[in-house]
Amino acid sequence: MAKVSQIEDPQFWRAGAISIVLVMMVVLVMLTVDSLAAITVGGSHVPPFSVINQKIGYKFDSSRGIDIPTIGEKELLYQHEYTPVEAEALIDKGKLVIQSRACMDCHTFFGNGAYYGPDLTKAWLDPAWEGWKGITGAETRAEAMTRFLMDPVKYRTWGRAMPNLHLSREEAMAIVAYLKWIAAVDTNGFPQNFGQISVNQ
Amino acid sequence: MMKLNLLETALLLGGIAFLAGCYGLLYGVGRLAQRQSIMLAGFACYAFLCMLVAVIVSTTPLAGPWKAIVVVFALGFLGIPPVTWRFLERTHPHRRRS
Amino acid sequence: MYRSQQLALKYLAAAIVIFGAMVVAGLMSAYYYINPDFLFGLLHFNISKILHIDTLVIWLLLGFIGAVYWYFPEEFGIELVGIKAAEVLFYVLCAAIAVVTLVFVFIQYGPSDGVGMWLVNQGRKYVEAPRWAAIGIVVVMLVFAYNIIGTAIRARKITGITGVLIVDLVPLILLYLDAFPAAKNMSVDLFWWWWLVHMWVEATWEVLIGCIMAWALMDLLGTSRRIVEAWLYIEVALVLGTGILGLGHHYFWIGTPQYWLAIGGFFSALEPLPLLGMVIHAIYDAGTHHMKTTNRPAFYWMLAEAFGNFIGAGVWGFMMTLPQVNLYSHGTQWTVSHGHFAFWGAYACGVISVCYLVLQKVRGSAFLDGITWRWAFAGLNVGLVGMVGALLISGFAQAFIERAQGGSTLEAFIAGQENFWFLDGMYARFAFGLVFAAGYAVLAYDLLTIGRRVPVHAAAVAE
Repeated sequence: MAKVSQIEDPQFWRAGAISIVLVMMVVLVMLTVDSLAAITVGGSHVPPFSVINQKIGYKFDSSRGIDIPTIGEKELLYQHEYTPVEAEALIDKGKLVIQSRACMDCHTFFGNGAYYGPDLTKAWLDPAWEGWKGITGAETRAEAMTRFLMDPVKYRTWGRAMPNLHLSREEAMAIVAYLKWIAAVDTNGFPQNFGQISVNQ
Repeated sequence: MMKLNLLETALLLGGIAFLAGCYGLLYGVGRLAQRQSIMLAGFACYAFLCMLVAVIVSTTPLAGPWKAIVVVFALGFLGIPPVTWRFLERTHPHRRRS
Repeated sequence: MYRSQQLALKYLAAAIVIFGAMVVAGLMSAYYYINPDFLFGLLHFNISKILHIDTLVIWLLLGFIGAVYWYFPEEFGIELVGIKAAEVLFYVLCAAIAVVTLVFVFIQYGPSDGVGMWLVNQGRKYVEAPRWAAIGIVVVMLVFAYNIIGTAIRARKITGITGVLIVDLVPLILLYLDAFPAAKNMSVDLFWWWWLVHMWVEATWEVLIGCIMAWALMDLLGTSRRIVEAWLYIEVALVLGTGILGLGHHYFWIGTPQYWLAIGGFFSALEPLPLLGMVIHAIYDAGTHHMKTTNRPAFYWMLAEAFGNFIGAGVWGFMMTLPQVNLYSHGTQWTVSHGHFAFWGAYACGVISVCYLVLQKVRGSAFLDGITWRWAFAGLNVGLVGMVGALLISGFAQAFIERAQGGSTLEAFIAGQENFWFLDGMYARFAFGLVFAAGYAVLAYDLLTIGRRVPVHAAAVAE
């Protein structure tokens, strides 16, 4: 019987497949452990929930060559200073509201989701809310956002309107808090130049 | 990355992968038909691929290491059709080209 | 015919029906872009999208399960262990799919608490189904695994293909457990969600379709087991060797460390290389058989799988995977273009191919061919390529205007959406979607009738 060369032997390739998969999985697990530390609340990339009490910004960092979030002086949300426990509860509620209304099946968060509505990663920082303050009669951005979310059809400004998802005031406030918090996540510069350039420039 | 560079870079990258497919297809068909002209057409696709790599290296704002990766991948695309073909011929002895 | 093969027919039939539901939901989703007041106040884009993407996952999974149930008993020469449970569960699964669909259409949104998550809508992409349904899916997959592993144990035998399949089932099922949590931290949520989504469609599903195609090649071309198994191991090595760390291409922008841009970009860019190898293999097999086969539609759909996978996943993916490009293409219609093309090439074509292989046996046709399947093939592929081309144009416009030029604000988003290139792409996408839908209708008709319409004579056997 003719000797089968190694490359014709499935067992050779099986050994190769097992080896490669194991090596890649070990590397992935190591990177996962490191990444989870970075994305845990309070880690290097994800801020504590209590940043909702502070001013969030977004500016270019020359050392990293990308835009990064900035966390500044005190800027209360709804004129209330949230304790860490209150902030966490509010943001937890916000995420549940976002899931219950399937926001990610119209919008994107960190660019993930659906593309019918705008990306919400930096929605808290969107200059458009200044216009909505006038439309909704709100004095603050947070209040404008809350009123809009509770009745987006009433405050529609575009042909493709957001539908009314029957959010209570508590639910709308939770979403606003959530949006403020995620605007402070370090997303390696996505989206680039947010609010710093304009299509009309 | 400048706005125009975005589309240009993406199209160049897609073009490289697409031409690799054309090269592979023509290489395989040429080997099957034992027609040098078809294989030459495949190598012409590969030559065009190399031109796109040169454009990427010289004009796009990708950093050096990324350009090096594109060059290495282009070499990988060169080797895959003949290496795969040789493997297939060795493992299908009763189906060697008639 | 084994009982599991009879069950396979039911699974494959259900797959094709749900494929149809996916097409309807897809046309609706496309139409919203053209007429945003469509069903406004009644059924919104997000529900239509949920129906579209969830039926995508379900019809492909049903197709995979059907294919495995068809080939597995022949692999071991015995009936599948636990077949009765599998038969009952099929009907339970169909009922659950129907209930969840009705809940999505008529209830749509639930309360923002555990009740909503358990009973109505979890709102995480692809895994929106309420938790009770997710538990059902886990049960179905566990029984499936029991069928497979139990049969191998009873037969006291393992083959290369079944060994790979069994090992693949473990991560396939474990990863689905991410369908349950509702992490408040979006970065953590998406981190694990991508383990599920990427490691399904760019890892475990690739291995699963590889196993199915191995059986299909032995069936269609009489390729030896030794060859298909060697090739399967090579494919596992290359696809998982690039795809496991290729997961990192989803970790560019979700809050994870910056090293993912280099790691994810590099390994993800490697992913097209094994797909080129598959194209070469497909050409070799087609050519050495002189394009002759006793089952023309299965043969051509298998070719479509190899080429579609390379172009849709490989070429389209390579275009957008480097982080320098992805910064702009991320979360735009460019992504949609790639997603449609990749799913079609990597999985849909393979499942359709298996349908024809199974039908040849069921209808007792020595030679399967005809005109109708060619019309379906043309309609579906022209429709699909037209859609992804249109989406690519819209995606380019969106990436350029909204992201590169506009800085991704709401104003930039609207400017992108109202740009004429974008809008024309949306109209063209809908038009080609209608072509695709017509192709589907012809496919469904052909699957119902092929092998029944004209008596087949042994003299028509090609080889």
